[in-house]
Amino acid sequence: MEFQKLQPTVETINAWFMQEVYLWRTVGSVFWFLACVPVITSIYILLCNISVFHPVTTIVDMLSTLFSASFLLCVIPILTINGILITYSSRLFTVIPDIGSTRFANLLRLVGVKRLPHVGLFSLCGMITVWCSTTFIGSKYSSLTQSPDGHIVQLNEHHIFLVVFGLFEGISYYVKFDLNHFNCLQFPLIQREKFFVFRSSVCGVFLRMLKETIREIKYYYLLYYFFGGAITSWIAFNLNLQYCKDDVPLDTIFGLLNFSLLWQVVVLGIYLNFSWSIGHLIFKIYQTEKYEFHIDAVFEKKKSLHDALNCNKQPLVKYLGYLDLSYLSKCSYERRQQVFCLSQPGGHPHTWNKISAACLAELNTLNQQIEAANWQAYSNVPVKKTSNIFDKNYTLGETSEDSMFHRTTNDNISVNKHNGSTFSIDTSTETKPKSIPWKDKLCGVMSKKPILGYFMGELPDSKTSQLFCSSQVQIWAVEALSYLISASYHEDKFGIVQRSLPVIISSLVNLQENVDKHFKLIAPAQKRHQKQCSVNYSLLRQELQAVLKSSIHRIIERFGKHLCDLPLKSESIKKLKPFVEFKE
Amino acid sequence: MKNFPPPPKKGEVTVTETNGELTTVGSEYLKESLQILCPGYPEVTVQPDSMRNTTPRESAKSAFLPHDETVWKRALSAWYEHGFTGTFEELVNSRDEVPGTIATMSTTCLTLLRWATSLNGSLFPHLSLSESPVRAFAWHPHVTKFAYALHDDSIKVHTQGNTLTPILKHKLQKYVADLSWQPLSSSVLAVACQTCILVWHVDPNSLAARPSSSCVQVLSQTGHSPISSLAWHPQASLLLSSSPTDTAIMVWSVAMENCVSLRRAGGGGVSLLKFSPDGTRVLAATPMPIFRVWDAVTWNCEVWSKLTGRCNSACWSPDDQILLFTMENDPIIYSITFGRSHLNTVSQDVSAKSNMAVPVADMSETEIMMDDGSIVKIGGCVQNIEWDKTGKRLAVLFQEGSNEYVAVFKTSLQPVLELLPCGLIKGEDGEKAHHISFQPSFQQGALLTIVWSSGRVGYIPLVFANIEEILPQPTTIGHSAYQPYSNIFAD
Repeated sequence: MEFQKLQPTVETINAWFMQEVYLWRTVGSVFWFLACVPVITSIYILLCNISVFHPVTTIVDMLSTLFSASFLLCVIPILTINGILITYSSRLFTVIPDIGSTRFANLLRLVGVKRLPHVGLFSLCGMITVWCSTTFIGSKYSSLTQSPDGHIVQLNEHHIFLVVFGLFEGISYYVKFDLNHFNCLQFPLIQREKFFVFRSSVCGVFLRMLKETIREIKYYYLLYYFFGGAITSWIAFNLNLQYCKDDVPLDTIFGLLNFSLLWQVVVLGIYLNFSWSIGHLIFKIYQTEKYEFHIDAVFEKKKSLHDALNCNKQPLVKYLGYLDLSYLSKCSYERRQQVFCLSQPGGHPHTWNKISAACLAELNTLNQQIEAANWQAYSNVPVKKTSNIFDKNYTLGETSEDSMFHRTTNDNISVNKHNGSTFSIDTSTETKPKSIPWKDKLCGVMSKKPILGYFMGELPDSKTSQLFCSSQVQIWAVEALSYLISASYHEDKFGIVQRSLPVIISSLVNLQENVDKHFKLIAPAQKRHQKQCSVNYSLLRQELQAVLKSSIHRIIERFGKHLCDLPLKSESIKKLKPFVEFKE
Repeated sequence: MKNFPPPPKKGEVTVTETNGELTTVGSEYLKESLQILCPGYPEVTVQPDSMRNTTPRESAKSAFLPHDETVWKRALSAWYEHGFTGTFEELVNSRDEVPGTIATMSTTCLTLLRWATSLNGSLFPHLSLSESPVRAFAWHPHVTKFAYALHDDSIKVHTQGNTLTPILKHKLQKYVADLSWQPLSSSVLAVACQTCILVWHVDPNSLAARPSSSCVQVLSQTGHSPISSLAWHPQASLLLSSSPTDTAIMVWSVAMENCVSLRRAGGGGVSLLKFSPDGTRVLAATPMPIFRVWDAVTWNCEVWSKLTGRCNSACWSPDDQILLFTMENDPIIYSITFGRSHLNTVSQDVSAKSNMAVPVADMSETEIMMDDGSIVKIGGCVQNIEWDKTGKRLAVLFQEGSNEYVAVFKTSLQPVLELLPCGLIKGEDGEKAHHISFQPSFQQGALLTIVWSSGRVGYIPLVFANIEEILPQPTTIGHSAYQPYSNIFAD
């Protein structure tokens, strides 16, 4: 998570939030994670020493290990490095998913200079954790060297095998963490106490990690078979150690067919993956917990709800603000009363004005973006010839089918059509490498090559996903507006909501229409695709559409015939008609 | 039950309620009176053909499966197709070809599995009742439109003023147990199936008689089957599903196709879900004599135990404060009063006011002497209770054997809950009631829909004035000055 440098003089909501809320939430999550680690470690000890025929001995052994000093000595470094890892990787978390338009862009993001310390830390953490935890397994795995006859010190390849596995797990966890959007703070469907959220997701996390681990072990065995010999010989050469003559080398098929080694690797892999995911799970649970902002903060300037709604520096604050707004509009009578109240003195509905303006601004921005994308999609289909004209600027005639060119050229078209209104098509592309012409050109050429095309070719659906990837904010805004309007029927004593009703309704129906159009324009085959991660971000647009529809229905259902008395535009009335008749 | 007026005589059919009394006509005038009372409502009679269950799903298989394979191969393919039950069945059927121990073992396992699946039937009598013409029935919350599931697992959708009745079929649509229309939507219908929830988007503008499978979303979660009950949040945001074999209730975000589980041990599963009308509470009944009431804001629950049987039906009052429920093998309707919810008031008291459920009506079987001297038995254990949207009428469906009549109560909520017997509804001679529900969008009172054993879907409009609507409401400040309805949406 990129956060701004704290400015002590002018305390913005951003800085205040980072100091007062984010920090304590991080501390809380790391604390609970560290409390979990010894428990996970003891389960790990139980599993790695398990003996089917002597279950009682296994448990007694585990208990004696737990109360020994060596356990403490090993757990302390594990706790330290894991604590550092979770704290440091909190910067990787984001609320807006990073969706690259090509596979190459995704890869590029992984190995960016900024990310290198993370890769290093993950692999270091994996290695140190494994190094510490091998002491629990037994002498066969626990140290780098062994001396079976008491004189000659020999290399223990089993130990190296496990430590290198730790390194491998660290890197692969980092990769899947980023590629599968594990680093996205997905807000829960329902607000529950943290413990219950944790309890209900632990089981799922464990099963997912079990599957992941087994998949990764497959690759690790393959890699070790090819490159393991090089690593061991390098270590042996540097430390001047000898190979053990009795042991079968592990980089052979016969050496890898070792069941007890496989069991240790599986248990170790689950231990590593599971403890990291638990850490990140707790972090996510803490950070996505609802935060109640003050609605009318007279004495605490810059900390009120509408400041949070307008906070663009730190998206998390904005998200929590909209979450709070949507929650209060649904569930809290008292706080709705504060929204509907008038200022004293003056009698102006400042709170409502600010909140509704912020919501409307969000909706209109998205509306414009979708409209622009729709124009682009319109022009994509029949305007092959015109895009060829544009392509000649790049002196590459044969690339007319290249989608990258289409994008740039059609952006021009859409901007012209809207008289250069201030919007950009890809708001989420700041993290992408800046598209400069030569690079585009290169991409264009490369995406035509068979293998490179796999990496450079545009991913299906990526553009729409980018368009809607941050639409959770708009979903909450739509919900909040419609719930507030619906509640105002009974609760708004001064009639302040009625004045803004026509504007809100027309912007809702416009957005709804544009979203509908957009869905019709993108190929139906792309509408749903396979679930790759826990959250499919391309489905956010479906959610937006569903929420828009039910929100319009909610307003109509509440106001009913009174809607006719509003000074609505005839265009809006026409668009509302199918909703009134329940034909939409 | 003694306070009920005597039921209609033989040959008479209840058609409506006017001036506080149920009116009957001779069964030969049923059609005409229905056309006058409910003009435009689809006349539906479920055909006995589609009522019949399709041939057992396993039987067709044996006709096509080559039998020269070894028994193990057959067992394996049976496992692919039908899971463990299939394997065991295959092994038991060919017990001569397998070792004795395995045959015995699979017989035992099969018995256990069959016993477990038979529980499913005992939990949902409507699933196993061969006499019931429909498996599930659901009114659309806003328009005159309803859907019902037939025994061949197809679903039909009828709309007022539209002769087109879409038939919904899907390969995963098996053992449909519940149907539920999404509130605040025109077209979304959730279907509880054996293995998954299907969410149909039945476009009202579409002319397709068989909506394709592109109109359907499949929601499934491992371990969460068979799904027996669905409940939409009244504000359309969430869908809850439950299975009697899973202790977790799944809370779905339908568009995002993800879910979170609400798990509480005890009770062995959740067999029935009912959202309160404003969405603050959910009743979750279990197959054991225990049920929970969830607070749908904080998602904590309170447990109600020490029941005499499992809770088999329940309904909420429109003001969200009273829960009526009935238990299996107990002919009494009980009520629990809750505090006001904090959604619309300042009060924070969500939990129940008392620790005891209060019996409000005794429905035990009694004999009534008719005018002509014959004796009729009425009452019995309750199968289902339904409260209409205004909170003025309560309909009670009795369990098999005593379901010839449907009892209707007049109810009032203020100052205390009061149930006054209104009358008994009778269908045509020999017809038995199998499903009752009120149409939520009916304006002139309440419209009770009964699915009779003959397959006839009967509409009984209960016409009464809603006093709260006539009296000016003090809460709607600023809106009383509105002009009467000028219909700008008319053309």
